[in-house]
Amino acid sequence: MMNRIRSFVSKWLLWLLVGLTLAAGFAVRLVDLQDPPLDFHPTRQLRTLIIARAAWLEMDPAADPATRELAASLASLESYEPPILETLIAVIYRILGEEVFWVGRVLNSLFWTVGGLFLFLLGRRLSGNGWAALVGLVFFMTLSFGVIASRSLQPEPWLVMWLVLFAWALDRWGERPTWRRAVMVGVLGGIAVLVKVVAAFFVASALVGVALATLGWRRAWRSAQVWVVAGLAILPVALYYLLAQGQRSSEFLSFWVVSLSGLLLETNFYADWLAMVKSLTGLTVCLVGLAGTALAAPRGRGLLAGLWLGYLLYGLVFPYQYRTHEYYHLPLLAVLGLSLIPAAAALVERLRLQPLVWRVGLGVVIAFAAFYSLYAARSTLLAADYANEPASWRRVGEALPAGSRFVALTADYGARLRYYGWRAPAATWHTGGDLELARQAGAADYDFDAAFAQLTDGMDYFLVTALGEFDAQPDLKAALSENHPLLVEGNGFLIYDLRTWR
Amino acid sequence: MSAPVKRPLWLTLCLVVVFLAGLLVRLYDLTDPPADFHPARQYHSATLARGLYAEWGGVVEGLDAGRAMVLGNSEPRIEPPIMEHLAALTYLLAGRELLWIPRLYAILFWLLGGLALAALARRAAGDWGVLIASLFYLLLPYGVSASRAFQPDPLMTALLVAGLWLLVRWWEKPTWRRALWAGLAVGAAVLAKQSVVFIAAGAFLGSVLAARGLKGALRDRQVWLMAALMAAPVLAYNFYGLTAGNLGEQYTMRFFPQLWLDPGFYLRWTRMIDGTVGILPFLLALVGLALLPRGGLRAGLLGWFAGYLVYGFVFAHHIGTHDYYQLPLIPLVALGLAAAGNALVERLLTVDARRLARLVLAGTLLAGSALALYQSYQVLKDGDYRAEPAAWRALGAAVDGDSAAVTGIFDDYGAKSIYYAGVLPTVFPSAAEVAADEAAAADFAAYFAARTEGKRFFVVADDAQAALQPWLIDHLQSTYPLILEDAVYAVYQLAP
Repeated sequence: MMNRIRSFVSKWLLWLLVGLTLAAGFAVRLVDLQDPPLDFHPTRQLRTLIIARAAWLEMDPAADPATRELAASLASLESYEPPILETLIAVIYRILGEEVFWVGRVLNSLFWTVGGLFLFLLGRRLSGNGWAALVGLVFFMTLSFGVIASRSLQPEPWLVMWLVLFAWALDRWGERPTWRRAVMVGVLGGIAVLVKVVAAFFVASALVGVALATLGWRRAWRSAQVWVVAGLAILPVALYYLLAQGQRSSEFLSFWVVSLSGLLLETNFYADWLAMVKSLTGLTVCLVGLAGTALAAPRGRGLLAGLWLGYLLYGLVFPYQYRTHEYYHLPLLAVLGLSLIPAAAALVERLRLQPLVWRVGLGVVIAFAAFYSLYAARSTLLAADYANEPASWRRVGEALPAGSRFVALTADYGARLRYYGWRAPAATWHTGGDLELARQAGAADYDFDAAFAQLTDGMDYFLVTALGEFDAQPDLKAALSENHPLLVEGNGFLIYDLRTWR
Repeated sequence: MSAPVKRPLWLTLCLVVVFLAGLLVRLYDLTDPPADFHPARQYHSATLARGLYAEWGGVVEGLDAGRAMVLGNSEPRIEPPIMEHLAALTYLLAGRELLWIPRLYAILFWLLGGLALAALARRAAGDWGVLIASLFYLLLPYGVSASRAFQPDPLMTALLVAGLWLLVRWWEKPTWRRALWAGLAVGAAVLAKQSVVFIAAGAFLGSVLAARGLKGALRDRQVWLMAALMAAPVLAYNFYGLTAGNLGEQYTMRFFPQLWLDPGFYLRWTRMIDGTVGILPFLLALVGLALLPRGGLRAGLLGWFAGYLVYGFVFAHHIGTHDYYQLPLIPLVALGLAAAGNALVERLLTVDARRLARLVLAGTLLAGSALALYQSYQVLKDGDYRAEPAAWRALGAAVDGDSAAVTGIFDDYGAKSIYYAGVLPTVFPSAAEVAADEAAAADFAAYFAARTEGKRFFVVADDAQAALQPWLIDHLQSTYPLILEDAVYAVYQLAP
């Protein structure tokens, strides 16, 4: 009887703590909700908002036609992935009757939390231990980097949710491979890959891992269900990219993958990769996660090893971004959260033999560490205030004569001006970072005069808002200040008149 | 707990490699001036050691011996200058002052502490535990930087580990000889840096209570001997310091119990743990402590941890601001990790894919070690301070070595100026002090004039303070000529 009561209390306490972790993680992601989304990779976040705004105005019959047309022209950006999240945000704008940019922040926070719930459920399946799964969940929901990156207005946070859902379904299929489960795995994998095609690395390698662990080489190769899962996962994205984005996909692969593949031969690339992981999650957690992968039961080991392999392949295919873009590492949080669980289970089993006071004490310490991590994230979010930026960029937009064509040296490739200032540069002048990227991609030696002539040809004005970058490019500074009059010297921006020569 | 069985060959080989790696990474960039880690603290010791060296007849380069003695004597005595005496004696033997000699001593002490740590880990965490503890203790990047610093902390930490090892040996077989050695080692640790008394007392109490219980311990003469040996040296030093020296002054501005009610205190402390040993290793170590078998080691480590908590509360300001106050945490976390790691390894070696598990284990430890070494190497490589001595000597010449004429802002309280230039400057108030002063808010120029009265030179050698006091920099730039500038400072002439 006492055992039954103890088991009942333990079960409810566990679910209470799961609920608290999810709620606390979600709540912290809403801190400073209405601050403009310039805290984390603004180019990427503003891109989402620019596309969502255009989609909303397109849906809204009451919208001013000129505004609708302008928003659509501003949203004609490079195509990356299908604008599913942007459309979802636009639908909510439509329901609300106004553009509320932080809707996307709430959505992504919610998606991450759902991902957390399924990570817990999957972790419990992998380890057979709810308390160990709670450890993985705490990591996933409270890591400071995760808090900041997972509320960002871009597809990655919900991509991670779809990956976790896919992994959960895949494990269930591995346990009992029915057609119904296979279709579910395929559909979830397909959605993940459609949300962002790079999910294919994780989906493919995890599928291979689980299929090999449960069926073996021969049976997996001959299994119709495996092929159906693979087909369902690939079909939607293949249709989108090959039929709708064929040329663009080829250019993207040519530049970002082929041209930059030389980085794989540089030792610095691997050092930078590790430095990036260290700064985001810490390296100890990776080491424990790898040990956890080895500790998992065969099916779970296949799944986790597959996810790790996916993370590795993703980095080898996109080496430049892995060194520079933190959000490329967001799926790692799910991989780590899951991999920690078998390791935690091994320790939890040993701790069961210790007196209750030890277990409670350690629980309190872990809770404090989680609180610390959330508090650090909250402080980071509150420390930065971008409230004045929209008005500043509106002023920049207004300072540029209507209908003029201009080239801009500006942060975020002109995204702030495009979103807040309702103006799009006809061309953007390269930053030092762009030149370095081009060099790494094997571009010919830089010729300033040729670049200046080409980019300013037919332009009316040259807008400079990245003043630090302007100072770092003396050739450009001289070419503008010596040859063209300074039309406007605003607060934090300069406009040179390219039509007039000194 | 019985004496451990013979160590396997693979472990011996691994330990040799790990100790060699720990030694070599610490020897990298050996001759770079000690500005890489808490320069104020290291140059304090360097100035003291040079004073002693000059006093004993050593030839000081670039500075009058009398001046070197005066500067050495003007340094506050916080703890007995053991490291400084050792350094000065070795300078005499070497025939010149070489700042890398105390660095070598710190490294040597840390490595010797590593041997005691390995002996402790073997007692409770098996072969893999020894390896994990040694890897953490010797290769942790923060530990690498901190354990080559010219300050008492590496010696103190090594003595604490040795003390715990000797206490555990006494717990295993309580002889008078073992009690004597344990008491001496723990007493030496407390003498090296007395702030560690709480941790030492915790480890001691844990071990003796585990061995004897409270009543038995009180009746045991060996316990009293150890307690006396632990307490006597530090009591004697304090008696001398309080009656004949200025130790009393050193005890002011150290205790801030009001911070206990400030949530920021706990967060700063946690951040400091995170920045030194890492939160996850710390949490894993606590799990490991729980997994250790009952006995002298577990009791000693729990006492150590309890003592660390008391130490943190007593030095509430320092625990959140001075990272080297976390140094005693490194061996504790190393041993806790050994126990947790051993539990994981035991489990790993029972999984169905044993070969894969061994591969993952070896690969993980190897990759972790390589990364840690690479990080330490990068930190040491990136910090190059070889140009600083000449720059500070140039400043000394520019101000004619006149301490009374110099004020300024310094990131090390003027320690490098004292050491290299022989100039003991007056430190200008910090941004927080200026902000809290109404006179400064009312009329900064008048405040500045009052604070710099009689001074001829103002040195700006603290970028962080300069950024926090833009009004000061504006005032200097707009009012006084810049007479000397270097990568490490700018000197303004306040008066001819």
